[in-house]
Amino acid sequence: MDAMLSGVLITLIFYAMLGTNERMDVRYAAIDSQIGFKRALLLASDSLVLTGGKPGDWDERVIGDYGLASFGLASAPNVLDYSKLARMQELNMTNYTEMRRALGLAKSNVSIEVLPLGGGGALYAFGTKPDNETTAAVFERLALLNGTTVVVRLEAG
Amino acid sequence: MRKGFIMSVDALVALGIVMVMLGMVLPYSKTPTYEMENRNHMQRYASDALFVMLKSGAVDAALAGNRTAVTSVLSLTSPGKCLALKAYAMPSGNLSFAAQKAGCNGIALDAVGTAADTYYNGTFYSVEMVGWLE
Repeated sequence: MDAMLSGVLITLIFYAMLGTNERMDVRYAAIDSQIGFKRALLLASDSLVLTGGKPGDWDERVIGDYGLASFGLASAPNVLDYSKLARMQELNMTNYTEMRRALGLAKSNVSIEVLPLGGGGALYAFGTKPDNETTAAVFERLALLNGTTVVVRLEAG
Repeated sequence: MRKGFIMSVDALVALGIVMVMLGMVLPYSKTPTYEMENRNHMQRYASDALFVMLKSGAVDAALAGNRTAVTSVLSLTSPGKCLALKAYAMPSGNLSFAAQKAGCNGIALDAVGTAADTYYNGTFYSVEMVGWLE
């Protein structure tokens, strides 16, 4: 009787653990994907505020498909380039897909806003806000524009 | 007596097995967090704040005794993010000035930071910015 009972209990525990493992696999795959996405967003924000993109004079060129290796807005680390910001806004309608690909966020909706520190309307805006706010991620970075501190807000999802 | 002893050992072994199984399952049941990613984000934010202050001349002004620009940037940063700035004269290591965002008390144990050197009025300074989530 004892042996039967313990056998049943061990079988139940074994199946419970098996089920838990399967649920955990699914859960951790989702977490991996979310962490990978946040890492991509972090690197994209680095590219925006610390680099001028590749080629560095992309703001003076005609941008075709795969014409932009990386997308950056800075003339020096943490110093934004007025010309690149103005060009970014111009390209919003025509080169949105190419520019989010160059940011490494080709599969997501991407929104970039340059805002005054402390709040206020966007000085420059680019892209489309993510459809689903709950799965979207936001990274805020600080930079200088014409000697004034601004917030570069990158949102994707 | 002997039977009782065997039952006790039996119970102890069973308890051990249950504890081992629980130990294997419990770590997975914790709610996952993105702590590392949040820390990376905060580290970047603190680094940005430091370099913005260095490049705008706010740190130089603070070293000269005028902390208005430094305090202004700190106070306008995003709600929920805390920052603290310190500058040390080199090589003595003496604290030249310290500023912290208003409303952020102390420095959290999980704070992240960055440092850079600057040269002002004939002296080298090591300037560090520390950031944490409120």
